[in-house]
Amino acid sequence: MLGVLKSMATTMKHALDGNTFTVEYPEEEPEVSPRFRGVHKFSQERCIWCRQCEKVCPNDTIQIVTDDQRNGEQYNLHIGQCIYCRLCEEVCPVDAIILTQNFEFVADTKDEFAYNMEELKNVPWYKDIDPLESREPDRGAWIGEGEGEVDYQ
Amino acid sequence: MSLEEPRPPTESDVGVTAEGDLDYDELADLLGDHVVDREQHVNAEGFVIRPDEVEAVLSTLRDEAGFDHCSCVTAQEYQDRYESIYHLKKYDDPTQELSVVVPTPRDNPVSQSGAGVFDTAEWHEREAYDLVGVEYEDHPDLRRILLPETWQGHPLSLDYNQDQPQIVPLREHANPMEKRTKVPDDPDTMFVNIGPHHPATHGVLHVKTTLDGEQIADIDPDIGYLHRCEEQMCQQGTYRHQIMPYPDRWDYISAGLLNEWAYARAAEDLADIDVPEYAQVIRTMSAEFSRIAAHLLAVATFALDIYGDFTAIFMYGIRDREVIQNILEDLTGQRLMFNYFRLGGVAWDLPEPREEFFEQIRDFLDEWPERLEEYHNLLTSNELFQLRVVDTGVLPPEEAKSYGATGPVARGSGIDYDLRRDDPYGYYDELEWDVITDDGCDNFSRAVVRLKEMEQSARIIEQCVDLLEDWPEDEREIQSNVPRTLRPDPDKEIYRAVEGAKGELGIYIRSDGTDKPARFKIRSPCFCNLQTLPVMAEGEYVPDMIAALGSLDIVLGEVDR
Ligand code: SF4
Ligand code: SF4
Repeated sequence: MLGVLKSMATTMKHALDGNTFTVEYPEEEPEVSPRFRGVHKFSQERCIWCRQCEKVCPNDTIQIVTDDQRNGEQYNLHIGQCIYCRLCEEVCPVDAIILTQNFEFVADTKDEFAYNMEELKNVPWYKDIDPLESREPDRGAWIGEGEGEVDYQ
Repeated sequence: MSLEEPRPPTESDVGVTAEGDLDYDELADLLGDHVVDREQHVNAEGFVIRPDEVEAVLSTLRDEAGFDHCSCVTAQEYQDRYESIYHLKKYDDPTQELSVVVPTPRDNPVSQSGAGVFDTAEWHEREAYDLVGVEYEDHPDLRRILLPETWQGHPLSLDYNQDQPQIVPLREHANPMEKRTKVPDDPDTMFVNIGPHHPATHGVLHVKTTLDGEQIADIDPDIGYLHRCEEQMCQQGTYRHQIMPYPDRWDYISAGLLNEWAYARAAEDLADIDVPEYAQVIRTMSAEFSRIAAHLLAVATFALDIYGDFTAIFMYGIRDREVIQNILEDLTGQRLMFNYFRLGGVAWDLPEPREEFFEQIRDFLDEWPERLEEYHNLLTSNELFQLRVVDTGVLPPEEAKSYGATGPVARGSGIDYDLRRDDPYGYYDELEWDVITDDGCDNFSRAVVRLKEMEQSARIIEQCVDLLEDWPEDEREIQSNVPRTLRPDPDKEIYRAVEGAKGELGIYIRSDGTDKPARFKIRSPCFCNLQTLPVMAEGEYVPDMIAALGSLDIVLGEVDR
């Protein structure tokens, strides 16, 4: 009997201590780690169309189309199929594809998740966190760069 | 730690030298003419035997040479033959390994079943038949296990056509309600389907149950609802990058890092890759966090099964697991699908500022003893809980061994077997901790073992944090030099296991000289542990079966792979 009472006392203690652990999402935003891997952001200015990201992706989420001069024409990434492994970012030599901390995305149909280059460019930085700062401190992302100002080609 | 204690003498077994190593020549002499050929695998020697002598060889090895653990059965197809490999070990010393290789011709892939010697071979051989197409003579019940009965072809055989549509004939759609409760030839019993859509089955598990009154007369777990052929996915990925994200998805309940370690260990040994010590400490620490998180969920859902109370204990478990997930998120960048280990190290060093990260861990560790005591108050010392679980779901140690049970299930039956100590890897052999066992053999022992193991994991983490804090800054090497494309030498074979959250998680890889494995086989601890359910549940009441199932702590993603 003592064990039952002790057990009930434990529950009562927690019921009455007034601490809450949960967050009232979406009113309150949960904390996201700087290393967290969310939706991708792409920089056409940086990309050298080497196709390494396409090749390393374990489930063919990235599709790149180039012309016969190897100039990039399309960069498509299905963020609904992606498993957020970050291998594409890891192999990219110029950090042109980066996983931001954005974890919220909704769509009416699945195909809306097939992002093209434009949509990938417009993915916002999450709370101005530089994704590379905590992952690869020696690399630093292009979070400060204005869109289109840098021309690497 | 218990490593220092001398191992129980296994010299009485044939084929063991005075130093406790295996003497393969002596073993070959023991088997005499049965051994047709000998192969070198990275982990052990392989004895090639004739397909009609499997039972004789396995029983000799078990009874006279002490190989009492049939860890895994791997089947595969070559250009010219089929092959089944029985990976044998000893519960007393799992570093003593032996592979029994059974080739069968391509046009007639029939080999004798090993299920008469090791009960665990029954399911392994069913899987081999299902996915690869080897047939086992004298098998008690050779039918498909992961794929539906109507499936045509064997997906891992060489000439399988991936694009072939699977046609299900009309007769398969007969009204299932008609015969629902009747059991042929036994009018006093009733047939009941438990699952697949029931929270108490912990996922999509279907248990075919025959009831005699309230008691279970016969029980048959039906698995495969979550089958994704993870083995094939891994065979299509490159060693260096593409395989590592997938282990997270076998046992997806927080145990991801332990699974990643299983692949990392096998592939690193296959390709001779060293791992820097610093990375090993980080691996050890983060893997133990995974273990605590996985055990927490196991205990929490077990309480849910026993008390049926959705609010208190389950939520406490989830809350504490959340703290761990936050730590792991800071470290790995993801909450469940970590993809943090790399061949030859880990992806990142600890997050900056390091002091904050350590503080976060220390806070958790400070809080932890009190938390654990609460779980003991809520569960183990509570008479209501004891009434429900003491002496139910009994699994005697001999049966546990024969079914290849490992992890907390085996340790709850008094089997002192933990790969972290017995086949050391990572940094475990440098640290102070104990292997927990309990002789109760019942549902209660398995829960107690998990609770106590969490305490030991916290001890390991604490020591790792101490080490990491004092690690000199210029020696923080997280990754050794690994070529961008890995091509292990052709025809190397390896079977390596680690202690996952649920038990021995083993990986068999055969290389063929390309950058992708030719055969990738996963030995899932849940798969083997689930086989013991009939032993625990037959003759018991239905609620005790549910308790036994909960105490096994299966994750269907890993059972079905
Ligand atoms: S995103 Fe990076 S890896 Fe991919 S094509 Fe562009 S430069 Fe190459
Ligand atoms: S995160 Fe992984 S799955 Fe997603 S696009 Fe990049 S490589 Fe592919």
